[in-house]
Amino acid sequence: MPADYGFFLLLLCFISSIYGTAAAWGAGWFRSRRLYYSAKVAAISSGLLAWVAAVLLWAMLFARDYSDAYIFKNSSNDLPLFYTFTAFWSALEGSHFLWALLLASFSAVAHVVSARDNEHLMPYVSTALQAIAAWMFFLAVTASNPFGLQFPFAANGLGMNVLLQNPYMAFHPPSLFIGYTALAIPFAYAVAALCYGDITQGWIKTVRRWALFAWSFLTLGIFLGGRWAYVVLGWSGYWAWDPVENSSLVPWLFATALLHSLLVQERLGQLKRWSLINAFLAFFFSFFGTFITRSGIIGSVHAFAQSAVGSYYLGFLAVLVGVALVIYHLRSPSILPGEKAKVWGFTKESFLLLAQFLLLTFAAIIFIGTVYPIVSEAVTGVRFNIQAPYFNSFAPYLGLSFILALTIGNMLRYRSGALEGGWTLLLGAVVGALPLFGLLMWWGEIWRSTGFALWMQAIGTYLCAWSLLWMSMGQWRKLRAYPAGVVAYCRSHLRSLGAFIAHLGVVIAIFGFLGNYRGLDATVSLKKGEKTELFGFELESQGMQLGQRDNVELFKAPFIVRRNNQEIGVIAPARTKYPTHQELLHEVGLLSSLWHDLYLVLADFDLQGSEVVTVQIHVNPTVRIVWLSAFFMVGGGLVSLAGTFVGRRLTSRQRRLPRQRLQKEGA
Amino acid sequence: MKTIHYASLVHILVLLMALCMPALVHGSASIQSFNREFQSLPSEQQEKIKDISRQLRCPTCTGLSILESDAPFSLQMRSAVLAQVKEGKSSDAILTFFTERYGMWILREPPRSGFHMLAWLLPCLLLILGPLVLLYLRYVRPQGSTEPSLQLRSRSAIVAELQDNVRKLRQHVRSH
Repeated sequence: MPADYGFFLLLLCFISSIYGTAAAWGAGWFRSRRLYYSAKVAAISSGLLAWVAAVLLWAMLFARDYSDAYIFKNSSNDLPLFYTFTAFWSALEGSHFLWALLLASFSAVAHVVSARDNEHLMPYVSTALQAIAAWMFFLAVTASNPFGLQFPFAANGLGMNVLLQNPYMAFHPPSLFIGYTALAIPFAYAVAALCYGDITQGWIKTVRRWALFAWSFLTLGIFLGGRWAYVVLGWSGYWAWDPVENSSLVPWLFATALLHSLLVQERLGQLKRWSLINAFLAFFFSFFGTFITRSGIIGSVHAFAQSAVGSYYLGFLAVLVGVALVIYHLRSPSILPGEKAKVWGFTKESFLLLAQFLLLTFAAIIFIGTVYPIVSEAVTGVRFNIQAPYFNSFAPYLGLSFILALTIGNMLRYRSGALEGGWTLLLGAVVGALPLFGLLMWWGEIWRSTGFALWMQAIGTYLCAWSLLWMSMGQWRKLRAYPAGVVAYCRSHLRSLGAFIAHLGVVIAIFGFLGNYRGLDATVSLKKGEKTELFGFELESQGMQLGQRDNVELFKAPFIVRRNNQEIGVIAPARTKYPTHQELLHEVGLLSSLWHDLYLVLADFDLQGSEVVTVQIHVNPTVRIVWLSAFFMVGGGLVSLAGTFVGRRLTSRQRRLPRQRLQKEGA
Repeated sequence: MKTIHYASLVHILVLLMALCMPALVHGSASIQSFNREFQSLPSEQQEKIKDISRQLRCPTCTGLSILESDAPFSLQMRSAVLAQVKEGKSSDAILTFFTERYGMWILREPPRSGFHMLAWLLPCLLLILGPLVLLYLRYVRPQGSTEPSLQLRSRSAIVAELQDNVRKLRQHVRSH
């Protein structure tokens, strides 16, 4: 049976990882190059064998082989081809296997790619990575086995969870998992630095590359999840501060903190131990989230079937924390701060430290809010909830602080209190932000808010406008002032350009967040041909339409949308009937412009007579701006990542002389 | 109540998710009738209903309030809120009504009293004490060794130190 081959391959991966861990540890202990090569071969073969097993599982999925229990439970004969592909990671065992697969792959890549720069550390890196891989493969062959036997053999499967049959949901898990698993390498390098006793020359470069890679994909994954929630779940929101949403945000915050502490480490030689702590906590919390989901200890939208995996994860997390604490306690004194005296004045480095504080505090608040139900039950016996209102009472202040810290930090220079462009540029931005602020308030319809919310949103909008303007002006100034020209500037400053783009993305995202959800909604019941008007949008009901798409029955309610008596589109919220599911699900009707989303949910309908439909109409401002910011953030991260490879710095002569003279000399 | 927290099957969860969305209830038109009654009320009563509904969680959903969700259970609770607001009861009395019947679990956030002050105080403390701790570390307890360590140093620093050593060695040799 092909499933048996798959299981055997996973077992081989497990054994290979165990051997690799032991060999790598021996290589570090005995300083043996041959043992390290042996461990390296073990890591690479784990990766390759895991891929063979993965290809096998995909082959079985496409062949609709229901002798495999996982395939039986998660696919069916009428499942479209694309979703048959994504069925690989649609449930617990498969998604765990995807995680193990990615971890083994990145571990193999890490052994090959950065090894020359980090020779002294590689044995310890290898030990850490292969130990984690061994754990993942252990779970994959015991409690979370995708190659289990389904007996009696069935002719058709149970089908995929209908909520997952959506393109956003198809890409959200892999992107997120790439982020989580790539964070294992900074963790391994942190452990290695502690074991070896020093942070070596290539350490910052390698850790930064992997952290940027992980960060970009984590950001992408989080936004994809939010977009899915927005278009599928029908409650007109994209972030519910759900426990598993929170546990994807916390590693993101620590990864961001890591990127910023690496900068301080590079320039001042300070915050070295904080980089190690950030790397460890980013990795730890990526597993903590999995533990929450798969143990069912906190109810969540994402909760999988409660299985024995929960207690395995708890044990793993406990061991991880224990080992990390022991290693840190014993070895951190050997990580000495740099020789430059601390310069914590009004400089960029201080604001990097402030950024650390804000990010870590935000992570701490989210963590407190997520685990508080368990704590309250343990202490008082009554389980209290912590839902969106708790987080939303702290998030605005943190958001505003982020904008301030981010903007001022970006415009300060290293090691001096000088502002880029000086006070004139700042004044120009403060004044120039006013018309931009007015435009944003008008287009985003923020002036409609009332009371305290209006003040907060107005202040936030002004700060966002000021931030965008000032940072852009500063960057433009730096571009123009570079003697060797714009192209050369881009080539040698890709990293900081990427950071600039990503920071713009953060500010745009914060503006998008503060524009949302001002309760602009209504519920109406309309007969066919009847019209209703809401916030300038006129909707005319077209009754009901029945349709079919692949294996799904659709009950659509088209509406003609007009603004100022001009037709701007037709949207059709629908209810869908999947063959494997009793209840009708939602398809949201969405008409988006940059500044508004018209969001329709079909609440109720009557197919006879006057075809009365009941719709909930939401007008959500600035949601598209949030999706736009994702492009900036992910793009900026990837540009920065490219910048870590293109390390060509100009000579000081090239920096000093103007471009024309260099060209004349044929430089 | 505890069983609601532990999902036992993926499909049950899908069912719960579906219940969070407006259920197709033929004929009863409960969303429509609630809506009609809601629209007929004066606006400050409408605001009061919305405000109270935002504070109560939907029992069959995860993370949504009874205002955001249209599960049948949420709809019933909203109708109860509407009826009580029409009677003229205060917000506190209505919230107490629900917590008496469903337990404190029906609220969306812990009360700001007793042990639960911890959930509210800790973040505030972190936000306020954090910068203070940083300032303390910077001004009151300055750290950082200025002596050269065995860490990475710039080439010029190494050269300068070597030259310094050579100079000291020469002095030593000359004086002996």
